Amino acid sequence: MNNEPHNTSNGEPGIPAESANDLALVASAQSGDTVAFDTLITKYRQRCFAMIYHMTRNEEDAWDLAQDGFVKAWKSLANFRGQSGFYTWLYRIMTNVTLDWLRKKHIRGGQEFDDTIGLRKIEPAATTAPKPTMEPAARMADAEIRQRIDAAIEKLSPEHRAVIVLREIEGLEYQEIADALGCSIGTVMSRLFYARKKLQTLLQDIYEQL
Amino acid sequence: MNNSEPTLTKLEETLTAYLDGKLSPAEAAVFEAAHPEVAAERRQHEQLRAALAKEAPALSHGDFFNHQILREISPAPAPLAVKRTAFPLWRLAVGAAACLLAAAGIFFTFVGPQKSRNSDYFAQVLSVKAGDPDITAQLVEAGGVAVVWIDGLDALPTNYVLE
Repeated sequence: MNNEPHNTSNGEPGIPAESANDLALVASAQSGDTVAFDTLITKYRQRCFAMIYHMTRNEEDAWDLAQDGFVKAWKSLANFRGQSGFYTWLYRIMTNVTLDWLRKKHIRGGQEFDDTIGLRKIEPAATTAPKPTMEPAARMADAEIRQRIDAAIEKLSPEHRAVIVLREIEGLEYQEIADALGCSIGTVMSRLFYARKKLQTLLQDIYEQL
Repeated sequence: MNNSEPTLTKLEETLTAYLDGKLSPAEAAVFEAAHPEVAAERRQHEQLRAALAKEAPALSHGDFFNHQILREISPAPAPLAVKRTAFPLWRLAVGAAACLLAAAGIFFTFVGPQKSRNSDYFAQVLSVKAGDPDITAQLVEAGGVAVVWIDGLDALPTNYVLE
């Protein structure tokens, strides 16, 4: 993948400035510099949190899992050789942490459907904040749609949920999804196909309102 | 679920590629012509994708988020190294106990009986002088200093001189 903006080169041909900067920070962190790692956390926490949130549909869980992911990344830093970008590597860790958590939750609770899912408090900076001009009825409909989407995604298996989030929201290519999930492109396409079919069935009645 | 997902048929695979914009315009046109229903499916898919993309809450309490991670990963303070010395604590304790025993032995061998004798002498003198059996005295001598302990008197008479 790369959603990372590739800045101008910092003198090293072929190495985007941002990646070079990341690699410098990673090198410091690998020698035990927690300040450098703190900078990396600040840089990527929102993207990691958003990705995990889309998979868990819960802000608190996403917050905790993103923290777990960063702690795991710190512990595995010695294994990072710079063959991929830091964020790609981090992304893989975050995806695996979340998938493991979803699988455990799935085993414990079976196919969950939480009817109590309500309107989450929307942060001022969130792109989901209702438009000020939105009429109350429209806002209610918007909230209802969000609830329905949350519920539909919760009905998906962890693997199906992951491919939907990575493809539809994160915009990853098939190969990048395959790398992140440790499976083949064929498996990615198969999961996408069946996950979409399921969502289509679950959300059939609200497609007109989307 | 494992990696052995159901294999897609050619149609399903092409539909997936079509929805993801992986077909060239010419391939997409051929596919739509052969399967007119897929155009509606593509519209639905785009609507769903847009609805999904709407949700992107901001991570709250970012500083606290970092702080907790850093607390978790910060190296724990190294345990204080135990220095090996020629005189470990247990040896010092045993040495101190031995010294105390030796001092006590010397005291009771040489000082104890003398004190006892002096105490008896003073007790006898006081009993004669005071005429009160509740008044007792003892003398402790150590390091060239003699201390007289007298019990049983509320106060010494102002004109009393110990000779």
